[in-house]
Amino acid sequence: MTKPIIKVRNLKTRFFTEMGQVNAVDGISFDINQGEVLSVVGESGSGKSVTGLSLMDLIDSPGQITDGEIWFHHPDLAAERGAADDAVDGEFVNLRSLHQKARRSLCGTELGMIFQDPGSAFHPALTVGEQIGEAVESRRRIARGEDYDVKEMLLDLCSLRSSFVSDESYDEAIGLLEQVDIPDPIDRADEYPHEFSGGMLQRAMVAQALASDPAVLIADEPTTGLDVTIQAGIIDLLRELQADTGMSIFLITHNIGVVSSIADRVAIMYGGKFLELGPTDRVFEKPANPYTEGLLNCLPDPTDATNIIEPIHGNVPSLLDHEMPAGCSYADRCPAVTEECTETNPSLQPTPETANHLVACIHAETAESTTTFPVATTTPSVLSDGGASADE
Amino acid sequence: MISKRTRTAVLKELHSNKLATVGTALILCMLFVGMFAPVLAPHDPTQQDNSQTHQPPAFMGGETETTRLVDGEMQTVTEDNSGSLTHPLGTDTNGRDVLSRAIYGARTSLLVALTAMMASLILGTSVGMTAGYFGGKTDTILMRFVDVVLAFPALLITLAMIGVIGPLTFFIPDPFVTSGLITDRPTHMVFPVTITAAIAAVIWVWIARVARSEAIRVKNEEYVTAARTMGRSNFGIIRKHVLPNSITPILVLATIQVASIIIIESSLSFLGFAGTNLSWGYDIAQGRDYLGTSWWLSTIPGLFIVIAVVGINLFGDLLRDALDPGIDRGEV
Amino acid sequence: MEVQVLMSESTNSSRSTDIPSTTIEEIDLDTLVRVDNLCKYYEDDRGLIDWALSRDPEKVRAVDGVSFEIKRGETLGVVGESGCGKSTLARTIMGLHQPTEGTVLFAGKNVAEQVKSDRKRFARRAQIVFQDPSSCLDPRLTLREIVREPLDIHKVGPKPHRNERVEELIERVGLATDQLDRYPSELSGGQRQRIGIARALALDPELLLLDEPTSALDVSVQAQILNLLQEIQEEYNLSYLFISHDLSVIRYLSDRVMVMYLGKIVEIAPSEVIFEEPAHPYTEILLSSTPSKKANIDGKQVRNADIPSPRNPPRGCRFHTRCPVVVPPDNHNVEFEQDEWLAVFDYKLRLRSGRLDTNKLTELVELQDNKTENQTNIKEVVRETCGIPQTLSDSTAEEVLDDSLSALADGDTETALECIAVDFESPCEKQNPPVMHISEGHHSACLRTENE
Repeated sequence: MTKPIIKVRNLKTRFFTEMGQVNAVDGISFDINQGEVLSVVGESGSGKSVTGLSLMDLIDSPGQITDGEIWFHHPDLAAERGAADDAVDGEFVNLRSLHQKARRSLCGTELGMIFQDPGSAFHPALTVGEQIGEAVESRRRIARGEDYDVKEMLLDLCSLRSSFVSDESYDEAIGLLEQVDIPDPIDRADEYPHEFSGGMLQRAMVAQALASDPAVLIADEPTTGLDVTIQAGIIDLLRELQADTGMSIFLITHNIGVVSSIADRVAIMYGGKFLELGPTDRVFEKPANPYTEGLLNCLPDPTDATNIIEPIHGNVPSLLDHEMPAGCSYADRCPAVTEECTETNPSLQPTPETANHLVACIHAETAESTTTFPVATTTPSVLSDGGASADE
Repeated sequence: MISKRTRTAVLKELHSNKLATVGTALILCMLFVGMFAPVLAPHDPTQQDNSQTHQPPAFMGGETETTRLVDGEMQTVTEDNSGSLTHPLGTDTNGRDVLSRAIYGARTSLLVALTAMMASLILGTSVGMTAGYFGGKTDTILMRFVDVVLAFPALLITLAMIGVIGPLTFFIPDPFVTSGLITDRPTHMVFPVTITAAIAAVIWVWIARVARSEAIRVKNEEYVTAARTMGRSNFGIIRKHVLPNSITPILVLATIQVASIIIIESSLSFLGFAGTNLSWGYDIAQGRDYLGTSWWLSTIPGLFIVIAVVGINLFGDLLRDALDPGIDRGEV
Repeated sequence: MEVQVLMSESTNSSRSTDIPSTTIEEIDLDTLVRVDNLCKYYEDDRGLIDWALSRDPEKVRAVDGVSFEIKRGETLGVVGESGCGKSTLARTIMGLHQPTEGTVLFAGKNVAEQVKSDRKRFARRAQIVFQDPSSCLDPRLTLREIVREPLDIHKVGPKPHRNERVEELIERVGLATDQLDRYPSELSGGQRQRIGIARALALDPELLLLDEPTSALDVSVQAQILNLLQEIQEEYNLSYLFISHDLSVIRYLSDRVMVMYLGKIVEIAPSEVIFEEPAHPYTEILLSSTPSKKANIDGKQVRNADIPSPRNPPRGCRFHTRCPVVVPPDNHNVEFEQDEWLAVFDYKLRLRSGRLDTNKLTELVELQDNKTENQTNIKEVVRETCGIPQTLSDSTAEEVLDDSLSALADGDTETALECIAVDFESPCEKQNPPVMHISEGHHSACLRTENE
């Protein structure tokens, strides 16, 4: 039976801009199970990237996580803090109520992130090996319980040592480069990011994320902008790494083809909310939400010459609070819209046939309404039960 | 050429940005003062009165006791040193009204600054646009020349030009006096041609540099390529696409350069190359010897310079923020 | 069996310029564009040091000897990865670049000459739609001004007529006329792309070059644009040159597909054929790498993840450095199993690119525990790195390889390379693959095709 490693409950992330409040993530709940690939698919402006950044606590002003909990499975930390702590629930720790420092060190050791544009994610004036070594070094220092504060920084600046990275860490970085199938890792570690091609740099970024030996890897559009042959290589790599290390991957992408080749489960995101969540095959074969259906119909199929694409009319909705309609965010583009849709806001409900296939649409057939995402771990989670059948 | 959108943007910026409002107000004030100098000035700025020298500003009061030779004996005399409202900001060594001189000085400064700016704007934009848009050899030749000019200190070039050309001045009849509305004020404005030309000669290169980099940026945009495929001529493209899309930074720079022109002009006047003796810099130079006793002689024109420069810089910021076509600001 | 892709005779006849244009159009009524051995090289700016050493600037061979034609009313899809020269090709056809070599004939007339003498006239016949919807529209103009621009330049009719035409176009591309006084920044990406299409249609062209028109758009919007393009093609009787890196989009819109790799055409065929019976290994890899909602990514993959730079493309077949089915040597001295051959070839490529020098070898040996740097160890390590078995199945080949490895272990990379230069030379390295005719309209440039 698969157990969740991250449980997100009613997460809300807002941006407070000149133009008004932007509800980038508008109350989403989901579980990431241990050793699975969960993918979030959505068009631009659906809030999928912000979801990933929120998990990593990388939301900066003018943005803010305004509500919700992120429970992370970490028995050691939970035991250390004691069950009486508000931030602890069984073996889970609520990242949102942790002190920022504790959370950062958790991010460095348990969560890894890779970004869309590897070219700007690397420092141009440091060698790739050194930057990956830095991630390794950070993990080691956290493991040793070392702190890096103003004092350490000043000492570091005054000391004669040229680098933050120890030799062991650098060697480990070379090993990581080898792990992500970069040819000649020894030579490449000594090169600067601009000497890498896009695909190689993306691999190097995966290596950097692996440096912290993460339990969950958050991949934000890892193949966007890469050529298809290179993309295929990166997807292969992620699949292999996942099988080898048993980590969970939270994959954010707009490319449905990528999702179907790698993801165990898929969440369809639209207007800051999840409209559908379930096993990938199931969702793509029998979409329960009209948006998912529409999205699939938009895709031309390279294997079939006769298929006809049916576009969804209209545009991706604005996430501005004052422009968001009441009710379902997809209502104004939905072909099956009724008056009710603009009044009630649908929530994720299991479909009758498969319990772990959830849909947010008032017209979809759903099973008896239950609390889909219980916060307490003692109550069996529909979702984590379902995760098992997803793997079958 | 100013579109409705630009106007709205400027007004909106004025509304939301207090500092910009202050800057704009200061500039409008200066322009108003310069234009209506004959009406606003309480005295003829050139009229000397030896009985009224070194009068302090009106807000200074009190009596001072000084020892001096009176009727062949050393006596302690109590002098009434308080300023009077006749000369609100006092008088200078020759008994000329400081306020009137400062007001007339604004005229000279603004006239020089605006003329020099227009000249360098036209020259700099043309050279920069041509170099940037056409690139290649044209670019190399034009920009190397610009680099050479940039390599010399501005003041040095202007001094050299003044040395070569000599102090040319141009007298412009004052409309208020010629029309007979106002009497007993100078009948002509003095426009120092050499200084203006010299300043323009050093300022245009800055404009050219910015214009060139903007032209290079814009010419690589796809809408310029699109215009080429539609068959628009090169100069048509510059006129229709490149210039409108690169004018904002140029204008902002030009505005801020106006401030430095005022400073250059004042420095030149201070050094005695004024070509006119109705200038802030000239007055500062004149008052320099009396800083210990009559501080207002230099300080008042100095303050006017500060106000003008600050106002122009604030206005430059306003332009920069308002003319930015990135309407998408603040989007996530 | 070898056939010239384009009948050179007819190319020559239409190139002779003294024939009046009308006659040419009568000769090949069907062909709108004929590209003949087109090359476009970019030269880097010569820096001061280059100039002092009188070095020639490096050439980027963006398009290198490309020949094909576009028939009236058809859509020719061009697919390839970044750096394959597809965008340069479009811009050269459009007359935005002067070709380095070769010609583009548009309705029988040379585009480069036509553009020089009368850009405007050519502009009325061919237009381009760009990839980036954020930079293809002038941010300072209203939508009305943008769409009217081509009409203004060409002074089409009086002003009220132009405005009418603008409204007609705007409605045709699916936007409301009340949006005409808005600015591009107020529109979404899809709406901007519609404006770009309306502008390109304004002069009623015969050919539309679509340079990745949907790659910056979301899938739902991409679908709208694709359908719009399909509708207007029929309505205006347009020919398309449709460039994309996305095979699924290409299949949806194209009648024929051309696959490019590093400036060369590797395969050209009717859409059906390319997708059902691809002949070139590169096309096969592209197809198997393209994920879709039904098909997973699997099957053949490239051997070498990096695309070589077009500055210094590989000799012979440009794909040989990444090809999973590179042809074994044909000199009958040596026999290879395919796996062995690929490993040996990998060794050769590494050797050639200087990735196996003395330092590198030392490091490699050091990486292995408890091993001193001696000849046997180096040989072993190199074999391991390249995946070559301890002994090759063919004894002659083993001998040659051993010689080379010994030379390498002695630190003499050049000799090491020389040893295997002749015996281990793939035909793919030696010669440019000839363009082979496979079936009606299907041509591929691969030695394997010839052999089969």
